[in-house]
Amino acid sequence: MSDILDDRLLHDYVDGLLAPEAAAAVEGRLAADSEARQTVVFLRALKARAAELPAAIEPGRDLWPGIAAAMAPTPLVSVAADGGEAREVAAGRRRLSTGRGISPTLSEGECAKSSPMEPAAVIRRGIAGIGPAGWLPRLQPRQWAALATAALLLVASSSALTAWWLRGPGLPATNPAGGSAAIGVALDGGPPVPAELALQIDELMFVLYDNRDVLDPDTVTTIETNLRVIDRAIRRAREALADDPGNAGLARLLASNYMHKLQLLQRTSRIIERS
Amino acid sequence: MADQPQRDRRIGGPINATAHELRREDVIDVVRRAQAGDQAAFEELYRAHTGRVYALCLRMSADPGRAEELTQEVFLRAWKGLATFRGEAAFSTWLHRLAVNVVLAERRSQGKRWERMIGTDDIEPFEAATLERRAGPGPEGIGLDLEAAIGELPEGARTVFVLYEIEGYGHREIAAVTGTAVGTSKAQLHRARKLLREALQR
Repeated sequence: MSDILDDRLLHDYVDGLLAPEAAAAVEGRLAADSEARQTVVFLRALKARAAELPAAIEPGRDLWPGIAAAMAPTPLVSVAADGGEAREVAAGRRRLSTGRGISPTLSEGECAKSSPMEPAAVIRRGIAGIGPAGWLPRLQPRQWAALATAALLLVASSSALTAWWLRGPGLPATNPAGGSAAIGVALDGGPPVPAELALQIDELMFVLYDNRDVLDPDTVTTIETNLRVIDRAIRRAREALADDPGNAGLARLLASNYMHKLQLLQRTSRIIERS
Repeated sequence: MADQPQRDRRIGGPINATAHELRREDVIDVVRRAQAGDQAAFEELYRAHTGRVYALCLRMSADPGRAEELTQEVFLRAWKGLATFRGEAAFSTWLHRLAVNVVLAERRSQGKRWERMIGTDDIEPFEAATLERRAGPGPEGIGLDLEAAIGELPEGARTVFVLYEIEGYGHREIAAVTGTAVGTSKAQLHRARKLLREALQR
């Protein structure tokens, strides 16, 4: 039983994933194949040993103090945005522990009072801020080129998205999982790719890929085209940010790109729900 | 809470997570109090569940320090998201799923792309060689230090092995949480078992 397919068959057999007929066929082969029998013996023993591993392991220290400290109310500050808008964002992400901290992320709690931003506003905010009236990131020529490319891609995607959205009934307020769509943007110069946002996008991507058959093929094509454009804009912004990690302008642009993607996926999930 | 010398020991014994087992009706009550903002109640939940959460984080990250940070992050997310817990599933199930998501999200945020799992159906010989030799084989040919051998598996294989063999996930569930195909999950499990066999039976 050196054939790899047969070997995998043994794994499925041990896991009880085979139909009765297939399982019987494997048992028939086991009688005449000592190597296969050894494999089955090992796999069963391994499963038994894995099942015996402790369900709980104590951490080396009491983690509660750090959690309790992070749970303490964080003062909110009002941050003025362009257009007279004001959003409340957390004054800063609490570090759960010193040293190697988890990358700062946005959360619903930190942005609870922000409202879902319309994509065009996000783009305006991201691009209009790059100028004398707003903050002025210190960019090298190469970074300006990268930023310009990212902005152009985002504008292109925005146009396509806007046209697409206009054919539907507005932006959704919530995602299908019931989570809030109120996602903010890191303004404190922290890493702009919040894990929660990435996870939310991933979850909605699962929704899309699991349900693409229920959508009109033209709609799927439109969605995928727009996703590719947004992903390119994200990639460009990330590359520019990699060259200048502390650049808040690039950080903001990247975050707005991600939010753009999130809103497209939320819109898609609503269509799927209605299909 | 951190500076409280006396914790509520009504439901537990010493400050030891595994000793703080909550009965189902207690859990419901404690969760409701925590949802109302009672940090002491949330600490009870922490005491009751931290061992399982830490075990999951440790096995999936293979890094004790990182696992501690992840455990803290899980409970902080749980605190923030407690209002969304409606009691339709057991709190432990909800928390466990949250922990898996936090670990996987952290991995993504660190740039360790899960996509690397895709297309790894073939066993990579060099990986077996990187697994250190463990304690000698037992009666069934499995060495004693399975935990350590799991920790040395490649990330994708380790994640699937932990979720499937230890946490009891099915391939469809693993595919869903990792964003991969069922076939990928099965391939990674197969890969993990092969590597463990080589490591543990040497």
